[in-house]
Amino acid sequence: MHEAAVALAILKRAVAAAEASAQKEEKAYAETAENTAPIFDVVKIVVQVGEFRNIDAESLEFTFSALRKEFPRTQNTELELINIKAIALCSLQNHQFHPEPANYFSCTICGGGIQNLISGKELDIVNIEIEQCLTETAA
Amino acid sequence: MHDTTDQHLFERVLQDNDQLADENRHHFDDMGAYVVNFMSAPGAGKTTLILELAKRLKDKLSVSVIEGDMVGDLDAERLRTAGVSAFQISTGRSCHLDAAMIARLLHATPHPEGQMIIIENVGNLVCPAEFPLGEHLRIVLLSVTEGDDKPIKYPVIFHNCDAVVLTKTDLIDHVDFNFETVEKTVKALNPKVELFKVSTKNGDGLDEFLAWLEARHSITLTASAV
Repeated sequence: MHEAAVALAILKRAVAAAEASAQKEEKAYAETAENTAPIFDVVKIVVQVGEFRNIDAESLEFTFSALRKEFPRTQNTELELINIKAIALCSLQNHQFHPEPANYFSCTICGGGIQNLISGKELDIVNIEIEQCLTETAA
Repeated sequence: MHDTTDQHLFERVLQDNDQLADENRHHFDDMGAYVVNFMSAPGAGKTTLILELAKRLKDKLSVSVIEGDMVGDLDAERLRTAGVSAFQISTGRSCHLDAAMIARLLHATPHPEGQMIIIENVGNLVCPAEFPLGEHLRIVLLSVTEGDDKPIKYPVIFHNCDAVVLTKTDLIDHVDFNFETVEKTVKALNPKVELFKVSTKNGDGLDEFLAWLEARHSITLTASAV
């Protein structure tokens, strides 16, 4: 089940985004009299998943919710998955079609194969929502 | 204070693996090694086919094999016993090899060397499709005993490969396996794919597959020499 590796990769990117936001703000806070350090939590991360990726949404959501507890800044992070339908260009006449098992993945108009996929191979992070939740005294 | 900000971006989730795979590919090219990744379900006959290829290639090319298994080194030991240079990667809980595992092995002592490095991925028709390793060629094996519906059930791996090798063809009279169904599905998923039928039991089709593999090796070497 490679969904655990995928969930971990998503979480590491989320943590990096939270840390980058904290570093960006740190300088400004250092100049204040309060001498506090900013803390950012990752509220939500949005991932596009193409139909031609071997990703099981339920497994990914399950492993994500278990693994997010491993990182302080992602304790309650929500994962939103956007499914992207596969659209292929056919190898015979460049028709656009949806490759599906019922047609043995061939073009529904002329029977051609998949020349290339216009969509359906996505496995991309498209949005990270970060919240400045509180401040803590700098060490 | 509860300020919320959105960071819109477009990043591949598995970009770390993909970058490492690119680095492995450069490393292989610098070594002058042509690398072939064999993938299939467990029991399709990867190790037996690799053993047969290594035997037939040994007078023409130097060959090393990387064996990926979740547990143990039975396959590597089987190859070593036959005189083939073999390196085992035990993936533990992981159901596939990834580029980092290959990178670690490449920088270990000793490490795989030779004009051709054959990688036997963990037996699995799902996960290995998602993790490029830096290979030049991706080959999927499907044994006739598994059934002709596998490309329909596992389309991604058949879409992302250079060749499909149908194995155990000597058993075709004992199973319900329709070559036409497989060919139709595989060619629709991947019109440029090469399709071979082999039996390591009686040797059928091995010469044709080997000739194609050697031709691909030569073409790549010629291209990289230009």
